[in-house]
Amino acid sequence: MTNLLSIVLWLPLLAALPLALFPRRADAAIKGWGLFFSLVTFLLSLKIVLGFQEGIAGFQLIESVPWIPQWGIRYSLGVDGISLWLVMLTTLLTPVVLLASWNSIHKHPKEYIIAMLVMETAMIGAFLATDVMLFYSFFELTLIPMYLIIGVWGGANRVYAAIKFFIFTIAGSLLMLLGIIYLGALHARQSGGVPSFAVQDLYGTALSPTVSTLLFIAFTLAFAIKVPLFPLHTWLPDAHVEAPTGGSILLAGVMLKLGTYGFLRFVLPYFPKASLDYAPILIALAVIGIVYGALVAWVQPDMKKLVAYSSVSHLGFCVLGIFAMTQASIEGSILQMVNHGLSTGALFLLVGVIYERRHTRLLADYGGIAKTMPLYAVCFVIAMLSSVGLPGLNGFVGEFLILSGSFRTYPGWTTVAATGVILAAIYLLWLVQRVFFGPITNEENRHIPDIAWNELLALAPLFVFIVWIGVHPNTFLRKMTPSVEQLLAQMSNEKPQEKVMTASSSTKDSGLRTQDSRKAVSR
Amino acid sequence: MPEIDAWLMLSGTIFTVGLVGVIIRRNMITVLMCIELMLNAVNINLVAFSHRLGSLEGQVFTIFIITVAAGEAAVGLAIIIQLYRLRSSINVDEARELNG
Amino acid sequence: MNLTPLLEAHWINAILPELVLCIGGMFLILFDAFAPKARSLTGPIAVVIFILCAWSQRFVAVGTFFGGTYEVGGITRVFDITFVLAGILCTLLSADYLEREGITGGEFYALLMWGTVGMMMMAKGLDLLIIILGLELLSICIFVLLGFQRRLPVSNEASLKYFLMGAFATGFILYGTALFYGATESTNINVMARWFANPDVTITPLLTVAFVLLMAGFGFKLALAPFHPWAPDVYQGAPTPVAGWLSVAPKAATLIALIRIFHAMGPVLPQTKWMTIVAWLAVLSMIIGNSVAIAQRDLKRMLAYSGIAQVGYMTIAMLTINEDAVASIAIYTIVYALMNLGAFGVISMLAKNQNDPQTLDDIAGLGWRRPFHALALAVCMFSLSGLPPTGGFVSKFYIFRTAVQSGHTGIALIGIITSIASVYYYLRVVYYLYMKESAEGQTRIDGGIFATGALAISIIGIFLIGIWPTPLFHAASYAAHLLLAR
Repeated sequence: MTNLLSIVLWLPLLAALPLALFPRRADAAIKGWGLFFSLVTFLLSLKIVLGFQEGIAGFQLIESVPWIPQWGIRYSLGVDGISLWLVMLTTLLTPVVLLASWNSIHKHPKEYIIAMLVMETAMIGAFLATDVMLFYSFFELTLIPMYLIIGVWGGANRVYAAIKFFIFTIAGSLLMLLGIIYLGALHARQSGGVPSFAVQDLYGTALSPTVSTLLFIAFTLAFAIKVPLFPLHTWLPDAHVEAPTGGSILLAGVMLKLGTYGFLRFVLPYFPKASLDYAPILIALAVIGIVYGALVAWVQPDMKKLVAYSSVSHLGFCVLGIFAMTQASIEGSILQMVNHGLSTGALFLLVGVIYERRHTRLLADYGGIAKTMPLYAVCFVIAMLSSVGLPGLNGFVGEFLILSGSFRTYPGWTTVAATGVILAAIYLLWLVQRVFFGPITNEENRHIPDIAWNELLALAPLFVFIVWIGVHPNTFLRKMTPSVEQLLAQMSNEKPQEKVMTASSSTKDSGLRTQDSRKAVSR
Repeated sequence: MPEIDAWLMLSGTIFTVGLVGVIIRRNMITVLMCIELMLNAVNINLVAFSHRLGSLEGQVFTIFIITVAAGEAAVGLAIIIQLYRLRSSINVDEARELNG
Repeated sequence: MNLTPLLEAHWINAILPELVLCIGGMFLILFDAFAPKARSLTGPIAVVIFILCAWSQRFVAVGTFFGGTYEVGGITRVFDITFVLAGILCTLLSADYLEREGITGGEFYALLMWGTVGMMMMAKGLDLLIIILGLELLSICIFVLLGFQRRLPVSNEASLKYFLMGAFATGFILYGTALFYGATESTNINVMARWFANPDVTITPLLTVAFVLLMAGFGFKLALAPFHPWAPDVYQGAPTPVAGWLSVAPKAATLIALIRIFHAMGPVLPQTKWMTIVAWLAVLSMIIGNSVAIAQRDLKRMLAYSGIAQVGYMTIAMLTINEDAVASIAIYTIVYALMNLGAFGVISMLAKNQNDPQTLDDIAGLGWRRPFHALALAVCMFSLSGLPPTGGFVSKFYIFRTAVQSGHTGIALIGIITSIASVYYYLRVVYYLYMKESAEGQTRIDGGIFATGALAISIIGIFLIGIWPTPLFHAASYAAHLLLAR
């Protein structure tokens, strides 16, 4: 299949279109249709992994046709080590979400499935696009279905949350749009009037320091809001608390990664000088976010809000790893994006499960439910341990790589960030302790039906990957190494500075790398 | 003072009178008349320029403006009559249905 | 004066679309008079006449006609298509609207057609006289169309307001024209361009006064701030399809006329502050339009303020006249016609007393009662706010790209920031559509086959331009190239 990426990209949307004609009453058929096609998408996306060649830094499986030739905009897709796993994460989480919400969406199920499928296409498109304008189109397109998902199927205060979410994100991305336009105009002028928005073409654009700084701010603001970086995170807890379970999973699991992905794909290579200059500020904000998110999560009475703030904390690690700019830290950061999608996705799913049964998310309403829902408790503990970073599970690998990589360039901040790991252990164990153990104080908790088959089925693939990444991270790291090396090489070309680790030295230092993977890397 | 300046000042004065009239008068018929005054100021201008430049374009323009103004006045009066039927008043301030 | 024959060869081909519409309009009035029983057919016939007009574009002769006063070229063809498109959409919407309100009549469509002829004259006029005649023809048709619901006080009042404002603005335009005539010795734009191109030209204060008067007049017609206050009132009171048409087509015609005038003035613009004035109008419009729209609950008033802001965006592109500017304005007006008429179309289907305002509450929960109509409104809103993959995104992108390339990054930044505010009120409509429960005694949506067809055209057009804009870009930039090549 030469246009594999296009098929994976458009299949969900094409599946969503005929859904509009389904009769409203055909509930099971609608859900089955959506689930079936999201599973097919996932299976097809496995072919991307199989077709992905290790040891190549640039984009693979490239497709490129002119889209708007007058402006040099092309419909061009491709994967590299940075985007591969994020695409996989998206295709994995969508069927999970559809399965998990099989019985929990009672209002307008048809439109819900349509929104989810459109969402999937938009997110995959953002990761696959290798044209800045194409990326931007998909980046914005994700907002519309998510706005509707939060606003229509959300909780009591959903409208406020949905509008806040939308306005925050679009404010950032519109400024970025102006930045993109400006960058494209500069590029066109420098290349003799041949406009192009291809990601690689814009890498070489020469920028004056002032312009570079301004554009850096425009891009960074957009992605920082999306991540969200402290202090721009205020929309996130609202959106998460009000969103339906499926919305939360996709929001935390994939949408936030658009921000960190944007840093890696655009901000670092386009503005290397400005990135180096302002890295300390971003790292400081990331670390503040880590600690702040953890502390606020600790005192949350609401389980979902707790998980939401833990997201702020975990995404802080990703940003820290990115702006520390070492091989290990960036690889760890990419892995941590996937990890966070898996473990936080699982946590949101589990919180949704219990909310479905008891219609409360307050910690105080629970206690001792390990006795009534043993299977559920096991699942929750696994997800929690993965999020905490227990060695042997995925979270550990990502955080370890980030911290060990960042320690070389920013030892002080990294030390502070490490307390975030401890705090995470405290608040999550505290959560489990209060919800699952101890005596049953509330009579209503005596008879809660245990986790259902569909929910278990939805969790299973997440757990498989949680363990897989934890036990054998090289399956995943191996594929991203060349791309990350190339990224760092691009940056160090721009301005040789001891802060940027050269690719070879960091590869040697990276503790988790095995012999064979290094062989694959040496070109 | 060159002759053209005198004509310009005359037309400017008439235009201003019309302009002020449109703004301050509340009777719709008067407002309509003030608008006509503005258009006729333009006509004076055009004819004066046409005379000085020795080109006919200005005079052609004037004829057209007179025609257009007549058409406009006809429609305008019709609107005013209809409004009078609905409200029994031709005061501009009475037309306050729309909150503006 | 040169003594070329009064009528050039092929002159009839040059004005074929106008002729089709003129005769079509007369035919409709006669049809209405002689076959009052078949009155419900007037709408469909009007659509056919508009389609005939679009088809007649194939035979149009290109060139300059009528003693150098009338220029037919690529760009006028693009704008003609816009006018005809707006006319068709408005006719389709009106067919159902007038039926429901019980005021069907052939003269409605006839006026629409003659107004379209006026706009075509404005787009093609190479002489200020032709432009102003077109403008007046258009204005007189609009006066009547606005007051078409004779027994409704609001409709009458809208008509009166537009009449007073319109006549007032015409006075300004004419006075400015007269002063330009005195300075440049001609009303012909080509002759004026030659005069302005003379390097010895001195810009007297009188010329600046003339320019200000001209901009004030056209600013009124475009509803640019600070000349905008009539727009919300008039849109609110007007028959809804007419309001939609008024918000789109006359603006397009005025913009193309202004493009011609600015292009003629091109050589002297760098040594004057004239474009600064225009820039301020654009900035003011974007700020006032977007911020006041947030406070509106009446849908038509909201769209009026949003229209003020949208014209502000288009004005940004006009600050430097080049091929991209002309092409981006042409594309923006087409997209704007689709999305704004689509939005007004859904509002026109609200079956309630037209004397009362159509507010957000009327569309609460519409998404679950009438999915298609709600979807149409939502798509138009997303397109108006400039989100991909709609035509609104592509056209707004083009505008801002043009501005940045011409060095107006600061103004583009203001445009971007104000459009963030605009997202709020466009989204609020979507919120009412899908996230608000419909209350008791809901306003019915009364969408006949024609109006629904108009919405379908809107949606398809918006997505088509958003996803595959290349052919349109190609046509528009080629046309713009021809226009500016002189």
